Amino acid sequence: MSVETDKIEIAFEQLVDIQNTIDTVLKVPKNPGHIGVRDMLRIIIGPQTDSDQEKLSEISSNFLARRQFKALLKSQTLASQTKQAAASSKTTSGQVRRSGDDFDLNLIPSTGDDKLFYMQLKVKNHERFAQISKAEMLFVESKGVFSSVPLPEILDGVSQIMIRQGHPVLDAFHDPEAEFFIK
Amino acid sequence: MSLHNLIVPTTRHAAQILSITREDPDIRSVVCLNDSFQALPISNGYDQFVRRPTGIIEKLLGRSAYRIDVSAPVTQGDSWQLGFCLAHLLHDQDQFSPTNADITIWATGEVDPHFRVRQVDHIDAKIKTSYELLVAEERAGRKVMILAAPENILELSDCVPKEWDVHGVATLNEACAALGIQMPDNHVVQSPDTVKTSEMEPNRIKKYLSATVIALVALVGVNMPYQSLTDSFKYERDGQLRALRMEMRKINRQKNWVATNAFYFFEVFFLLRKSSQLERSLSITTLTLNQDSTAQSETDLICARLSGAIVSAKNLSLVPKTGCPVTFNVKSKAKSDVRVWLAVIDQDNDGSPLTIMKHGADIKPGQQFVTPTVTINNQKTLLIAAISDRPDEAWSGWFNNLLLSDTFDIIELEVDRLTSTGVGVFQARWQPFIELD
Repeated sequence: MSVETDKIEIAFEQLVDIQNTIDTVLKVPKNPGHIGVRDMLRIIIGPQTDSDQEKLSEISSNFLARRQFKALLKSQTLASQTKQAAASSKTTSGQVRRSGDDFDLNLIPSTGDDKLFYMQLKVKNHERFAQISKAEMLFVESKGVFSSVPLPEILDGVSQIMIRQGHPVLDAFHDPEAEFFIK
Repeated sequence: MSLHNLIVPTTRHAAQILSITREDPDIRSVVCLNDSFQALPISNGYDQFVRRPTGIIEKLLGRSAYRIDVSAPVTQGDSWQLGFCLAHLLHDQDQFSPTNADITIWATGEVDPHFRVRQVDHIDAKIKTSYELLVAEERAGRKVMILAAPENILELSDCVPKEWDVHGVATLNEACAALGIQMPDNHVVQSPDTVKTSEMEPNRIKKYLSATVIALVALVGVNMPYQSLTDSFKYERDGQLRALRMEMRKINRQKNWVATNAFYFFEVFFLLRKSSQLERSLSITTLTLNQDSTAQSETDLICARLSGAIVSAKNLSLVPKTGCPVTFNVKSKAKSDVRVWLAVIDQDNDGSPLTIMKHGADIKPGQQFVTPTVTINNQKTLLIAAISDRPDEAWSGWFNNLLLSDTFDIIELEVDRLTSTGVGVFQARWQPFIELD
């Protein structure tokens, strides 16, 4: 009787081992870097978190995610500045302007020796002035890479942010192919 | 010459002013937390404190944009104004040095547009948060000076050591005097107790008469708001029409007879005249779809007659009840490039204004543009146009308000805003066609 019990236990353990092996083989590993639509929408609509830039980098490195994010961004954006026909224009005072239908972007270097730039967003679309003035985030896509920066309150149609040299938004400013979105 | 270091207290921190940078006039002045390049929430208030017409730093020093870096957050209130203002004055006179200072100044107070220092709240909490830092500054061999409104100094009397140099200052030039620096020219404000009265002159009639004439001329000369007029011309030229309105209102509020009259003439003979000239330079004609005489019905014939009709306040066309689809040909006879906005307003069922067409364009002298088609059909249809040789960023908002206005008072206000800043406004209304038996 005891021999039969041992055999049954061994057979049971073998069955459990086989079951575990099958589960392990068949289990589809979950992509740890996967970003769902809900996450993408949260990055666009808010609330913003510290990990958003990291997630934007992950989105930028994934072709499908990039397309999906851009489509979502276009559907949610308050206004955008599409690709430029030519590079941005520079004035004698060193200011650089990037013009669009809904808003202009002006880049003004600080006079201090600290590689700081002031970027001003000036709302141009008077018919949607109030609506556009509610924008809180500036997104940019340049060379397939997304970046974002929070916008301070738009007062009298102008919002001003400070960016250091080397910031991706600054590089995108000089790229005629870059597209800017505000939300 | 002594070098100074500025500390601006808050109820949570003692913020040291670390640097002042003169920036491009096109940027908005900003207060940054050191090394973060993050604008602090008081930045908007600081920009208004710096920039004309509300700001005093540009009035004092002539520059309109700065960046200030501070060592700790300053997040709300206006008590930073005295400290920031003194820092600007010291910086302008090369006596501001946070690293090599001989004197540490602790300053709190609001500064009004007349350079008067006003008392602030929570003075006891502010001195408590700064106390250790000030003691450390004193131990480092720096003289400590405390500056605040006289009312605040009374509250501080028990909280500060006797060795500290404490000054109650009612005006900015009293604060400058305490620091041993000069207030910029033309901005010296006198305290009531420093005003002296002149003695009586001998009573000879001729002398009195000439003295009266001289006094009158001097009175007009002294009270003439040269700076405000110069600024107003500049605002108008630069298209800063909101700033222009604010400057005009500021002068009106001062109730200075000479200044008020000077601005009255400025408004009537320059701005309103310009508005009127621009309005007259606008030529609006109607174009209809049926322009030939083969029109079938009476209505078509009436509508066809509208084609080429000049729209003016005196020459209104008659329109049938069913309405006429028209476009407007808008031409500018102005001598310079202008921006024109034209809108047609109807009324919805509630009687509220309903914009059925709005169209605008930048046009050069002699150029013209044609609007989309719109149906004008009764006496409720109103055409409104505005024209200006300045960018419409400042005035398009007023024009939009005018389109939405449903009471006479608001209409009058918006038209006044536009015309009193030199923008031409044109309005026309069509009358219904009444068939006679």
